[in-house]
Amino acid sequence: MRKLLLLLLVSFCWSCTDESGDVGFIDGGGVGVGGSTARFAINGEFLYIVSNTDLKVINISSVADPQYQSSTPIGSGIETIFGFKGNLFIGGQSGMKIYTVDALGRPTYRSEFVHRTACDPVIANDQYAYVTTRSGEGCNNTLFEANRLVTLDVSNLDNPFDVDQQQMINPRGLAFFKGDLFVAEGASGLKQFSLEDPAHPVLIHFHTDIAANDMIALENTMIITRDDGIYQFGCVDEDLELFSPIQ
Amino acid sequence: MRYTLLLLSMLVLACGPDDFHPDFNQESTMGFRPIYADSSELNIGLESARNIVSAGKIYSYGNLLLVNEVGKGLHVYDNTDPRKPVNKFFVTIPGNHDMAMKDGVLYADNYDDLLALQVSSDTVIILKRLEDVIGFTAEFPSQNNVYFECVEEGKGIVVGWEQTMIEKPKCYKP
Repeated sequence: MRKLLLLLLVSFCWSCTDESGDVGFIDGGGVGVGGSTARFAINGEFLYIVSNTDLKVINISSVADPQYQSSTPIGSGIETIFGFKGNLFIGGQSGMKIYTVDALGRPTYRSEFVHRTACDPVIANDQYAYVTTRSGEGCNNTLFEANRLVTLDVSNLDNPFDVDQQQMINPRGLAFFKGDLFVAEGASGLKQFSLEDPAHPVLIHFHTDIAANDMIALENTMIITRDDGIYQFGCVDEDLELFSPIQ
Repeated sequence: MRYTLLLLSMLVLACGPDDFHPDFNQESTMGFRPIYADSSELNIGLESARNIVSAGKIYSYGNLLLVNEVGKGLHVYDNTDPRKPVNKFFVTIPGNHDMAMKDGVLYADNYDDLLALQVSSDTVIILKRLEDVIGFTAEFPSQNNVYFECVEEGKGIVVGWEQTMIEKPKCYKP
């Protein structure tokens, strides 16, 4: 019985391995995985770079001979880019913008979710985007609470709308890992949400002993950056276990 | 109607950037600090492994884990066994903050330029340099509405900006 329980626990922990394919741009073959605070994103034959104000497109169809292709002004205060299936989710201080790119790497503006607070990263899957907003400087933050995890329905890329908002402490990066959503809360720890109902993430574990700023989720490990360095965690018996510090 | 307009414009003004004047009398605030490098750190190349001082972004590629040393370059780890990552070497790339890889080619920013690099355990080859595509400036941080520590000549060349608490800010980027 005990063995069965253990087996069940283990299979729960490892059952969602296939969903790690949702993490970042790994559809292009031979492409790596970055964190949710990245400014570089590779999709197919193109490298997309966001500066503070522009979206740059670099053609890397010949990987050793990249060609500058275009630059598109996309606002100001741009911080992060996340790509998923030809969609670019771009995080900035005033909101999240969605662009789509065609086979020639030409970006088209689709929509924006404006929240007018300091904004941090975004990750997304087919139907939902998860965005953290964090208190920063600027007077708009006094109008309403800025530290939130926002779930957006992006099934219509031209009209994203929020379906869920949750109070957070000081949220930063996000990652999908083993089918769950992980949100870094800085020094406060790492929150783990069930996405059983992807429109409404449910907090199932608050790892207060794991400070985190951003992370990369791989198939079996999660690599976490924080103020004092980088740590790798693995999933052991349904819990996160420290595999190694990286010095 | 006119009264409403007036009220609205007052609200907008009260909240708008026009009304904001940086406070140079405060003790400390969140802002950006320049990262300086000396001339020995300005050549792109391969060096022996070193410890992380200021960890930036991370990137996983196959069995490799890359860790950005903010403004200085990339630590390269063999992460075949995530319980025992091996610190292999350091790629010096001044002005570096971000990276991505495809089919063995490493793309990395070098100040305002984008580099395509071929990295092996004994050499780094610059395959291509695309100039002025990153949006990096050494004079001030690229972010808007931020305080920063003023750049001091003589401290070296600014290779990056790190967000941190700064004391008695004297510079502001609108």
